[in-house]
Amino acid sequence: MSRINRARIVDGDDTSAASLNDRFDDFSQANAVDQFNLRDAAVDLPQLGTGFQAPFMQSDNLGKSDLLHAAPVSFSAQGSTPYSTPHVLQDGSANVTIATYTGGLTVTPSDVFRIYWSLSVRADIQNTPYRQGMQFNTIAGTGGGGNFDVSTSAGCFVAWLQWDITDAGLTHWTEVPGQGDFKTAIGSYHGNALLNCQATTVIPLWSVYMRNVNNGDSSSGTTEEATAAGWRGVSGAWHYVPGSNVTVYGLRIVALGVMHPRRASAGTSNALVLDVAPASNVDLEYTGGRLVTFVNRVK
Amino acid sequence: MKHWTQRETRTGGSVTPDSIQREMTSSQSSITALDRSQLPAACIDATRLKDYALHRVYQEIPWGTQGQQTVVTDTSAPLNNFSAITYQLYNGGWTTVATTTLTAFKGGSLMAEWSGNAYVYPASTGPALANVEYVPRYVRLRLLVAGRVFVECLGPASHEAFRVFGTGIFEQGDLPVEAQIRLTDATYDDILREVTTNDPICQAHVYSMRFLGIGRWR
Repeated sequence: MSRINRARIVDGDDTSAASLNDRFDDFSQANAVDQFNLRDAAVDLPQLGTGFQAPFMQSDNLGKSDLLHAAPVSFSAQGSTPYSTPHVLQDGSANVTIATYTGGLTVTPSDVFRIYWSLSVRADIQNTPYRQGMQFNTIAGTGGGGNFDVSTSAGCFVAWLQWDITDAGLTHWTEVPGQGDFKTAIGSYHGNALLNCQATTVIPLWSVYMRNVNNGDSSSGTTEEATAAGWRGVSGAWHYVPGSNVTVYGLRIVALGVMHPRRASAGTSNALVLDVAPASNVDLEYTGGRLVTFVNRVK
Repeated sequence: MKHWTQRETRTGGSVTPDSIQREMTSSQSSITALDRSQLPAACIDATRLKDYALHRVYQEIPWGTQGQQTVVTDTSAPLNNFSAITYQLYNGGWTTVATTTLTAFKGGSLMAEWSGNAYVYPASTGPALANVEYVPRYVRLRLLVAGRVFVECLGPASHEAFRVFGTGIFEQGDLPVEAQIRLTDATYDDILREVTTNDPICQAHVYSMRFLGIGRWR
């Protein structure tokens, strides 16, 4: 608050015109309603209306609540490309788990729409999917070793955001802005250029390590050690400032795999494409998570 | 503004107790500068504030060129690799992969987050030499704000999503933000090339990058 920084008049002080006038001048400066004493000193959170900076927040369940992973939800990798429909997260009883907003949630150009989500996942693999399809490169053999197929360990599932901004019937799901549906032709494959993966979360499936590599080549003693991605938390984040008002009725997470980096030809854009070769050997399991919706004022 | 309601004291004039008391009493009635204890609760809403009076949100999506790091883009990598970081082109050390500016930051608290996906090639972690430990591979991540480390983490060790965030107190001004990565240093047994074409193998990439910052000064 405004403060007058001058010693008090006490008994025995000599009074003079100058001292009194200075004191009155102090009062006049304190009185002025200016940038300092109003903007910088007078307004704080209690004076703001409720929910000024974050007028909306909601948390929804995703997947199946199963802390011990006793009976997780499981779905298989896609075996054909382009795929028809992605997997929508569900509760294990064939009920989809989505976020809905009663009456629709209107987001304006003065807002930022913030989405955060999490999920507990595990890769379930059989055989050697990490050396099928486009999942590997071959390295040279030296010192008695032959050429060796080494997994890129880039094979993954992807999960991304879809919303319904048409009506509360929740039958018009589309990808959120900046996100593609992984059906674009990339050479002879289908996927998304990385530019169109703005709401994508990559879910790892395996890591393949090599023992006894010899200066980057395989040797007679080279072996591989493959580790499937065990239970882990994955998360996603996405935020969006619309150019004009948009009303969101629902939001959901969908997933697809097995994906892999790919370019149509040298010099073309990086992309993630669907690789169907390992499909029969790969499932993804998941249990529970949360999806949190924030609306924040931008200014 | 000052209003003399009684009289202005002049040098050479006579001052009586009443003349001082009356002036002080009169002046006190105009001491009404607002402070937070006098304003009622919830009296201000968005329509009564100037833009950015209390806070400001900054966002970049996609952040960087198409949301990807483009500092190293080795186009010679195999087609089933990202055209990205190879040890043939990567210089090592902390490398800036995206930048932005927190324009007109008024000074105060900053929350910022950087999210996206990252890939690191984990294959060559087991050297041939005996008694040499495995070398885990990471894409280390850090954010710099105004040239100072804001948040730093070990980063992804395979092909996975990341989100790093932090808070801090920063000075007034246009604050530069830099996202930096640092790949685990190369070792002598790293797998560097594919055999049939001799193409360099991608060692790491960062993409789907987004930035969100919230500055709050009240």
